[in-house]
Amino acid sequence: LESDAKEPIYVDSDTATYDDQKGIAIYTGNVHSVQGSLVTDSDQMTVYLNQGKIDKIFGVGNPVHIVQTQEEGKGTIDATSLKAEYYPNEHRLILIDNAIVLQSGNIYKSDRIEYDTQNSVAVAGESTSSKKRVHTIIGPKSSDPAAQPAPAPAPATSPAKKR
Amino acid sequence: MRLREVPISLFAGLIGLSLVSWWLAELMTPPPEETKADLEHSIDYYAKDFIRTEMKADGTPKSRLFAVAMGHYLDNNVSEMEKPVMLFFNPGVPPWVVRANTGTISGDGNEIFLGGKAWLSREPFGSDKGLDAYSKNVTVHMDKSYLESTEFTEILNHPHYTSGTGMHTDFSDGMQINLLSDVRGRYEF
Repeated sequence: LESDAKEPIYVDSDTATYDDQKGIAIYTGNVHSVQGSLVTDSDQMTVYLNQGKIDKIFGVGNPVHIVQTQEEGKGTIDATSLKAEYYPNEHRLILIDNAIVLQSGNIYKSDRIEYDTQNSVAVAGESTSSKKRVHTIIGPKSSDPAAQPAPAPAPATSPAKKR
Repeated sequence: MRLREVPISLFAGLIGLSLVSWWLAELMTPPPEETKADLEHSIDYYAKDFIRTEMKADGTPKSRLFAVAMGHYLDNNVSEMEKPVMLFFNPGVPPWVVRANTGTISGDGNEIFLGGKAWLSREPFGSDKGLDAYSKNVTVHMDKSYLESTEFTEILNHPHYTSGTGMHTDFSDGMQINLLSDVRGRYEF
């Protein structure tokens, strides 16, 4: 949901390490984090802080599992990957390695899927490298008019801008 | 002579005599000797505004221990402190400060126990907002450069918050706080 971005992020885990010098917090073991409707489960999550603000959150799991409620009536988006990078200030979530996104009945697979958590738009693959091929399964048009499939992901025109 | 005919003054005299003799007996008996343990569990030296600084090989301070009062006990070779404050110095950042109400130093000086609530803090610097952590009954292992507690511990790196049960903090290079179980974190925007 659009409002997710303003919500605090709550994290639960077995253990954690805060490294004051590097300004990072590493949560390890059954890591469950919630930001509004954006829910993530992973094996380890690292929070990078810069001057008290969150720069990036990096998750690793087998797999990392992410669920988010889309706008009203559009159901949820369900994603998994081996790694995930989240830039909360840019509402950008990058799924890396065996990335699979299930959105409104469609399935997108690639080694890299970039997802805009504010507008629920997924961009799969990377134009500069053919390795990141995209495999899409468009679900059948359901008879129920209300369940309109979300627009197919825009093809990646330029590589994801690194911060 | 029947009891009624014995004059009252005789009775009074007898009572007075017994009181005086009891008093004299009390007076003469020496005070109970202090037992051996009482004698030994006493302070053999003490200091006010006690300061102990540990230096690095390059001559810069590594840590400093300060206490309002410190008393060393002969029998167990332990020093007890009042309001101990510990400082851990790191290059480029303000020192970490650990405060507690009471504390003890082991005989070899390597183990310092900070009793009750312990407050760890580091001042803000530059754009960094500083950090506070609260725990209880913290043991500092000076020779191995870490401190630990089995109690609930909170870290406030403003405006964020993390808590857990059990803490192991390594201060050999900077400060790495490990929370050992039941970790909860909250990050604000």
